[in-house]
Amino acid sequence: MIGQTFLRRMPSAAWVIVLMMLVFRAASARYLTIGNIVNIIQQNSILLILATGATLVLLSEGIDLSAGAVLTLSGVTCARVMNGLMSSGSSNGHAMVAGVAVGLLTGALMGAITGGLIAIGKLPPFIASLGMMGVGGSLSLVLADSTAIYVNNPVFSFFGQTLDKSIHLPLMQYLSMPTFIAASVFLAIWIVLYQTAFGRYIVSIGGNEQGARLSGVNVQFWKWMVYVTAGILSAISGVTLAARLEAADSIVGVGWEFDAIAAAILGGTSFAKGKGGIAGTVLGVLVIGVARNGLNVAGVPSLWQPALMGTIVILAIVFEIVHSRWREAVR
Amino acid sequence: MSVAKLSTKRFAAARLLVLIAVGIAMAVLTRSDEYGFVFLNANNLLNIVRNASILIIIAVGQTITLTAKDVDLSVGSVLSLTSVLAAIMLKNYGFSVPTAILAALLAGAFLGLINGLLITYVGLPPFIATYGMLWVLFGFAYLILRGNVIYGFPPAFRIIGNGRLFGIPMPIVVMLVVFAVSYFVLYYTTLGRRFFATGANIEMARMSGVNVGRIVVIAYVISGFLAALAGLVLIAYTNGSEARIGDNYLLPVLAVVVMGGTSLAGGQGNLLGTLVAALIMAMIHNGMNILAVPAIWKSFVVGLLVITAVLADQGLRQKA
Amino acid sequence: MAGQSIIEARGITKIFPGVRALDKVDFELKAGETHILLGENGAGKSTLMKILSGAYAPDEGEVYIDGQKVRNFDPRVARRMGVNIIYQEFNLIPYMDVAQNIFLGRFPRRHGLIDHRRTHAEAAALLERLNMKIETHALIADLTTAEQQMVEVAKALCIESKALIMDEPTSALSERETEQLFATIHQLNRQGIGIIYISHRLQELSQVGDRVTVLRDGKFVGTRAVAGVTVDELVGMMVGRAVGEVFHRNYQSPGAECLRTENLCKGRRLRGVSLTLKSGEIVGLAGLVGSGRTDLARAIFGVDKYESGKIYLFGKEAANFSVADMVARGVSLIPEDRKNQGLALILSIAENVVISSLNRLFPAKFISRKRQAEAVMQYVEKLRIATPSVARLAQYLSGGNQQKVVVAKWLCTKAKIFIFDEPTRGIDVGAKAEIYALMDSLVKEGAAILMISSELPEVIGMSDRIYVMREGAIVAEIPHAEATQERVIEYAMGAEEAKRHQQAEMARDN
Repeated sequence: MIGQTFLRRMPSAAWVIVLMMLVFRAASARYLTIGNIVNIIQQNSILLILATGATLVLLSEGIDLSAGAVLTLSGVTCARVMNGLMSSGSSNGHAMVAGVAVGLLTGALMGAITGGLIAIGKLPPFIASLGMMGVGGSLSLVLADSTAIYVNNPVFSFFGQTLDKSIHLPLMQYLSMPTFIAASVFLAIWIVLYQTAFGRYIVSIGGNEQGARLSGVNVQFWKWMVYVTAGILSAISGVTLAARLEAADSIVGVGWEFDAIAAAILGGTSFAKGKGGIAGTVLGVLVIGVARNGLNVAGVPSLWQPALMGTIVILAIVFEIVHSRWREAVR
Repeated sequence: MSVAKLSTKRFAAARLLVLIAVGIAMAVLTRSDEYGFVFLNANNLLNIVRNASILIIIAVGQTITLTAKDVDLSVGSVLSLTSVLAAIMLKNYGFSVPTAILAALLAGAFLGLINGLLITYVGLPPFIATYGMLWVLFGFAYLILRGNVIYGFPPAFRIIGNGRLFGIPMPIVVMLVVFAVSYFVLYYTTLGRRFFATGANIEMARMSGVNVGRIVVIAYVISGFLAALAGLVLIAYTNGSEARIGDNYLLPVLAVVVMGGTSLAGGQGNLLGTLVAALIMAMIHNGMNILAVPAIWKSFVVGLLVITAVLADQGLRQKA
Repeated sequence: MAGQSIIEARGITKIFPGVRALDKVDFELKAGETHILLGENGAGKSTLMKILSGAYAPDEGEVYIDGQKVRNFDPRVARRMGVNIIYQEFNLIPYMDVAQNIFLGRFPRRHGLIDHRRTHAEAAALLERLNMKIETHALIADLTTAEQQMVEVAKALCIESKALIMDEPTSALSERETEQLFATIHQLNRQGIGIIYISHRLQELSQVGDRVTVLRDGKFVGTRAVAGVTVDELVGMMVGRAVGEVFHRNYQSPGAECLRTENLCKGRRLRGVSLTLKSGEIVGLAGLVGSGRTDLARAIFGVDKYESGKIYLFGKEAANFSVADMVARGVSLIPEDRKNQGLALILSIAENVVISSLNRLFPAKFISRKRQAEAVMQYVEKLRIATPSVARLAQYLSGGNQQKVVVAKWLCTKAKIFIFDEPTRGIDVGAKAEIYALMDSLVKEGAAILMISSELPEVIGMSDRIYVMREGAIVAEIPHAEATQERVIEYAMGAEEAKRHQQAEMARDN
């Protein structure tokens, strides 16, 4: 049943991926190896977490341009708290728990402010989140002294690495903790979106805010909650990234919100009417992941990558929109 | 001018008051025992106006797109990319100064055209379309210059940045010309009138015979062009160009435009307000510089200003 | 239980600025009945419905539910008391399925999560009870308008309901879908639920109504049992308004053909519309809301595309034209929704007036304030627009003056063909008279006017000829001499069909 609707609504992203894979395969034989595919999945797990948050926000007909800044800031606050605790004698484990908690709290707080500006202050989402992006970006630079904060905490780093670093068995290099975290988060959000009233409220606010209100949904509160949730998801991404890099960089997340939003749109989530869902977002993340990986494997100089990536993404979005409009028209 | 209704006049007066108040505040805050009121130093004041000029040129473009439709978030990247283009044309390829300038301006207009087409024909919401362009263009600017800085431009080019006309620094001259022309176009020509109509009520404009698609595209072309122009003046003045040069302009431009009374909802462009607000912003920036406030706090302040300005604007509109 | 009074309204009066929408109206809905509310556009039906469902508060009079007088009546209280209203704009969420839409805000839960099985089971049971064949897993966006309406009905009924108010439910439905809706309504009646049904379609009455109440100009005219009343009687009750206004028309022989449409088609909205308009005449276009008149106007003016057919302007075919093309050729459209389509409220009167004539007034592209003021003042005076200055923002004007500004805009383009869509809606008597005088003088000078109107006296008093539209087609052309309110209503509502239907039924019963 769900499969049937999904297939019918298959976003153009699926075709874009296939197309790109063919192109890249032609450019390099290394492309379709298992190692490479696993690579793509591992590299983009963190983006998936961020993109899931972006999807929720888009479903409510909003947008969160501060996601990248929140990612960065959460990593920074987490790292500072951890380092602070470790240097004053706490065990690695305790420090990590505290650090992660603070990181998540940071995300929740940023999301709460953004959501408040939008739901209560009635600010247009793009400007509220743009302003918060500036605020968050600055705070990251200040708290990290414009550089990176290194974290030497093996317990923490475990959550950012592939399993072969700690479990020395064959095939362990194909399993990574960030991927598990991303999968767990994805599952959790899937449950929230499809199995809880909150999830249905998100879609109803985006689909017909007036109708939702008349049906008794507390639109103001739940709209606010969407942004808090997105903030927490950005924080999870930031903390996991810090674990992987074993450092919290003060500008690492800049621009990630663009990839996240693009992934959501490419996955079939529309910026209006509450159309779409997180299942497609996986495809959207894959488009971006395949593109970036393909450019790498094909030997395109890293200098060209941001420009080409941006262009590919915009073209893919245009294609997806035109395609979905065509799909609606012939229905 | 879209009608001087009483409250607009009241806000304009309020803005001037704020300008003076901020001026006094900055002067007092930055007073040092050694040098007295450094803020009020003639050179410093000139600096303020000169820095404001770059901002104003971009903000004029933003005012126009907001009048006709909505925001243009790509201005910072357009500035970066077009000025990088001009820079390498001048330094690395030895093109003549007029050619480099023309190329940059045309590139800006072209990028604005892409924005306009994405919005009117593909139907992307303006904030998504221009935000996407922001990143794409950054990618290209990075591609061309990566982390390098190009410096040392031919004097014939530098003159638009550090030359003077009748004793007035060129950036200010360019700004005055841009402002005067834009003011004229927006308030005294049929094109400007169509911008207002399209932004005020696009459905009514269409049903009154206005070609709304074309009008929106033109507005974004102008914004791109002006961002490029601002970039040229900027690199001529600083004598250097790098890929991220335009990054710090987006938030200030937005703050300035909203503080100046231009509505985010469209149809209410206030050029004079933008001018005054830009001066206020430049004064605050200048004050922060004198007080040696670390750069990283600056974008915090600007971010806060944007939010406050929009909240205030929203609040005042509810009451009106 | 059947036959008990569910909702009763006594002496309801509602006044809006400038108009008495309801004047001491009585109304009663009994359990298990379908009570039809009949009346022309503007008779007060919508206002009464909004009062009965708690959306408006009456200025005078009381509402009783189940015999109890209600205080502090608002839509939520109404719902709790079992009174539900279904508007023409649905409150459904497009990308959620039927079951979830029905239970939005009231999901059955299990361990804190939504119990999908129960949600779908209960939704399916509800739909089954209402005889609706709709998949509970279908997305609203995939349903037809008729099916969406059914979901709205189901949603309204998912909590214990006593009464359902439906506002023109069949306007978007096909015949088969209408029959399905009627079956549902009968089902509901059998369950004791009372239904108030606003409709314009006389032929539907006998199929679905038990009693019918007629309103006219906000006043209660009478209630009859559907079984015993004739179509003529109903029509007589709806019209026959004392014509308060005097229409001065100087009728003249029409001149050359200005506008002609041939077989204009657009889906179900326009079904082969052919009409002619000649200079010097005012042609009225009558019909019910939804009959396609505005669609026709928009198609002619170039706002919407049509699928097939031809349009001729002054004898020459017009094809692939934009609004600007039409304006350049001297056509104008004064829209029904003057605030959202006719004016830019945040711009000044002057800016609004000149917007369509920019090229003509300012060929050098430069706007001289002096020239603008001269041009605008000309029309302000001619139309007697009441304003201290032309710099005043349009949003501050009264309805009548706003309409004059819109008219001024088109006069300024020196148009030759004017399409007025509901020219005097929401305008006070004095301004109305001025607009009528203006229209008369325009055609005297050789212009042509196509006037869409739902006000019968206006249509009859002002038109040289009247086209009546019903459901996308022109069903009659009535010359001035033969025009009566009854005739227009009969054609507009399909009276001849209703009569045939009634005769067939009578024949069957005998």
